[in-house]
Amino acid sequence: MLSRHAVVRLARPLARLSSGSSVAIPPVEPKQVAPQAPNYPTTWSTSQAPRPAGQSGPRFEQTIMELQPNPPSAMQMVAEEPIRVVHGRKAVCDGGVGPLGHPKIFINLDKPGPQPCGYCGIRYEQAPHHAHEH
Amino acid sequence: MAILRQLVVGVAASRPLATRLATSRPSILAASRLLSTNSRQQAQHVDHTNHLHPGHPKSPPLQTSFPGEFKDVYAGGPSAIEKAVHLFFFTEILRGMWIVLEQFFRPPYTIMYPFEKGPLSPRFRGEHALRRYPSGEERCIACKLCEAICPAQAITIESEARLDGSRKTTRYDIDMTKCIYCGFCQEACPVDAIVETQNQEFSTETREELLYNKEKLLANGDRAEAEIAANLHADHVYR
Amino acid sequence: MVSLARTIRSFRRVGFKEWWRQLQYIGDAKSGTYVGKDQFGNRYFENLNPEEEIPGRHRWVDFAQHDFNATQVPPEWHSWISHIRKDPPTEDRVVQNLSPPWKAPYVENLTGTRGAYRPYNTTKPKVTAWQPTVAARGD
Repeated sequence: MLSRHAVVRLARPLARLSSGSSVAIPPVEPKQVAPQAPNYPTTWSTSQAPRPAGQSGPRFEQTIMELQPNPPSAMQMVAEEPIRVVHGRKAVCDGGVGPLGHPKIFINLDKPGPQPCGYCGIRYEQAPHHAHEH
Repeated sequence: MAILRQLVVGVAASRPLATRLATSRPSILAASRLLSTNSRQQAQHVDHTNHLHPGHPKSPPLQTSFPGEFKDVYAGGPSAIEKAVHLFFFTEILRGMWIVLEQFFRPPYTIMYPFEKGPLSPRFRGEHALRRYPSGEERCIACKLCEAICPAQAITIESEARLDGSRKTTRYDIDMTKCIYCGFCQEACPVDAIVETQNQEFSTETREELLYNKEKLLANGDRAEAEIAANLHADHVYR
Repeated sequence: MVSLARTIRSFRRVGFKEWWRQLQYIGDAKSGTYVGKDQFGNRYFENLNPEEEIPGRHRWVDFAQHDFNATQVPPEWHSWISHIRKDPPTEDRVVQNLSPPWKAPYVENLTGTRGAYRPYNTTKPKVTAWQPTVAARGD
């Protein structure tokens, strides 16, 4: 650990010396954009800032970007979750883990298509019943 | 001789209060002092309990000591020579040093951190983490109760709808340099989204590494979810 | 609990190699039952005999790395070695059942290295600087 620090500290002034000779300002490169999450490439909210890439400025110089925290996108994980088919007009969701879940809610399934739980994002859909008309 | 006398005094001190007031020597001082002022104390001293300790030199009953009558309150105490011996030969210091010497030969109660660690509570409040549901969805619904209750105002939240229409946080910053680890945020959270994990080893070399953003908090929760959930499960019957 | 008898007893139990390794790291001769090994190769031991280990020293870890630190213990074993959970995660059904499929790999505290966490803004700035535009002069 200490030796690593010493190497970094030694290397820094050396790099400054070598780069000081070039006076010309390097042309501004277009900012590289890293994938926002391991399972989703772009941002998923309008005011969300894109994740900084390693070469996007002096701040992340020499930073190992692979070791930065990079949690997977919850939106994509929920989208990959299979749709639960429910017999009846309402679904009940409490997170599925008993006391460690969320407040129990009832979801109206009258509208066509899957309806997501507002807490845990699991989608429920009414089972199609075409045997007889009510 | 002196040890014997101390033993006698110790026996006297361990007896119940009423007995002590009636018989033992140090209490005579107090009793005779109380004599002129407190008559109620006097009324309790009917002749009893002296037969319990027949070997003990019987103190004069309080009723016989009239005000103005001379009474030697130091009679029977340690003599001047004994007190001088204790004073000039540092016996108390020697007794204290003997205790220190005993501790020197006893095993130390040192826990060899980081190989061994002291006990932590499942409710220990350490580094923060944001949790997910088993489906992978973030628990935080951006209700901002934690931001409101935080006494150090260390939490900053902004929220916005996602592409799939769900409203979640876009910013969840905790300034760990401000945080006082009071645990109000996890108490305020209605969905157990923000928790304080049992991790206390998150020291950093720079200050800025303590300014946690949402990705860092989510990553903390992702890697320690089993521990967090097990602790919450152990505690859920009490909440 | 350093005593000659304890050192000799532990030495006879764990053998010379293990005793030497303990002397290099823990600095004390300890002996106990092997409880398990985590994904990084750290080994965990336990000795519940109060005559041999005082309470508080009865669980210990033997780090796999030479450059050890306390954060190399993953969270499940951390809760065991901190005496939060009674059973080790290899036997604890609660911890095993509550491990999610999206559990992220554990990394130790990387402060002071190039992998150290570096905070950044997760939202776009609310105000943007004025960009001066120069109108083309008529020629």
